[in-house]
Amino acid sequence: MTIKSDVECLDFLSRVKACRGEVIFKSDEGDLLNLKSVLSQYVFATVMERREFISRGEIVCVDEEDYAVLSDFLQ
Amino acid sequence: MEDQINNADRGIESIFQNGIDQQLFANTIGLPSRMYTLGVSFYCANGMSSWCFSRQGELYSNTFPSYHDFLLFFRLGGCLDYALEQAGNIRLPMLLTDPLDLVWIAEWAYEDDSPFLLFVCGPVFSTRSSVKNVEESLWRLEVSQKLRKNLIEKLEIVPVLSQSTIIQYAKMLHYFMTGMSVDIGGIHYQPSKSAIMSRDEDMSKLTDSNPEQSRALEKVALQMVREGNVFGLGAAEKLANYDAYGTGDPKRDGKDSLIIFAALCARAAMDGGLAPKVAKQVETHYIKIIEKSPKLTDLLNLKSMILEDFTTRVRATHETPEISPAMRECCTYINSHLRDSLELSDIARAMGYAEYYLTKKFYKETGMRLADYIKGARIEQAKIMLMSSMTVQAISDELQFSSRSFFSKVFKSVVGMSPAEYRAANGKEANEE
Repeated sequence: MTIKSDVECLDFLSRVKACRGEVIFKSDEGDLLNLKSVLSQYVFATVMERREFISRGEIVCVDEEDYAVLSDFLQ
Repeated sequence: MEDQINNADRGIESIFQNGIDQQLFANTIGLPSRMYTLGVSFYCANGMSSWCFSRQGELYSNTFPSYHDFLLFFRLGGCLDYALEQAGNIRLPMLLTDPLDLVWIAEWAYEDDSPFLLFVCGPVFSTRSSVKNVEESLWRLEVSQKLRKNLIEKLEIVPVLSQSTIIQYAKMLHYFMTGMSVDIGGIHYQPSKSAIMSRDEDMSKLTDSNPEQSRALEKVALQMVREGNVFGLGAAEKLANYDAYGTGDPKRDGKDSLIIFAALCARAAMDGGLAPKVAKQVETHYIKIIEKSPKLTDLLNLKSMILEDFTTRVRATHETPEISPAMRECCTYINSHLRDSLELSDIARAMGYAEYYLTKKFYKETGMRLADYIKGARIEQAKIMLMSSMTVQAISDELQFSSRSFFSKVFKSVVGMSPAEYRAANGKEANEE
């Protein structure tokens, strides 16, 4: 699943906090950001403005049910 | 306009003649002007920026060059939410700190006893090591240099002020805001969040705060080396937690810890029967790798490898007494020179044998051709290097393979998978594939 292009960073990360399992952002360049990690959230926030980079990446939820939690933000 | 200037002039004149009159100060120079003056002063003095937020947290104005990122950090770190929660409760300057250790000075302005404007100065770092700490923490993430640099470059423009300067600025803010003094005890601190170094879950895997447990686990691991107990290695890897020594530099602590561990393993291996010269050479070999390792996670992998290597060597000593010390020394020489061209003539010269005699003796004792042994040793070394962030091309070059494709072919013939597949199977994303 990829992140929608108009997603607001903090709203998205706030929803990630509600997920039960780990939520990983996997870029097409091989970066792995565990969005439950504070430091990873900062890294993610700094690249969020680069929409192309974000849109080429993929969101992987370790707990399948978390996709439903994030459904407003994913496509 | 002219009246305002005259009032201000009279106010300033009065301040010089009679000392500061709070009412006069507040009445003659309006709050926006005072805040603007203070903000510009801070910016000129230290590059510290100022921000104004509404009661609801909307940004009114700021003086930060790349405000968007830092506004995001201010919100992401929970500082804005905390300040908004204090509206109406706290009438003193607040020091807000986020998980990256960015510090903001904030205070609410009140009108008719209602908070209506949040004035914020910052961010600043209170120590020079803050950016370095973040940088070190970033090495533990599986992210490219580009992303690491992206964050670090943003943080590098943040001014660094001493704690006492930050407190002075907080007192100045309060004075400009209210016309009243505040002492150090009156400054409100946001309840501390653990710094990112200790709160990040990756770090918890690397540190062990229980020295007694660490010592016990270390004893178990060294006993395994001494006995050549390869069957206990799986358990030992789980036991072998990391010891940080607290120099304030996590990578240095990690390297020092691992160098000590390698030395202890070498001593245990000597006790177990490994030739002291061999043990010392293996120890030196690993110390070089440790020093070159860029990531803390690489060090974790190395710890298991050191343990396994020494244990296996001790085991081999017990199982193959027919291999002479000279041939063991030859193997050690090869393993210590895998990055060199390793010509037969060089090895023979180092061992003090004729080339023909060496190859014959080596084959007789080990059942393996010398060239095959070198190839196998290089592939084993390549496996270790593939656990790092080195590219396949760099590993191929470093281990003296004539080309990357030849390296991949040899690797696949020995291991059964390509270097990239091996890297992926061991939890590393390939960098260039």
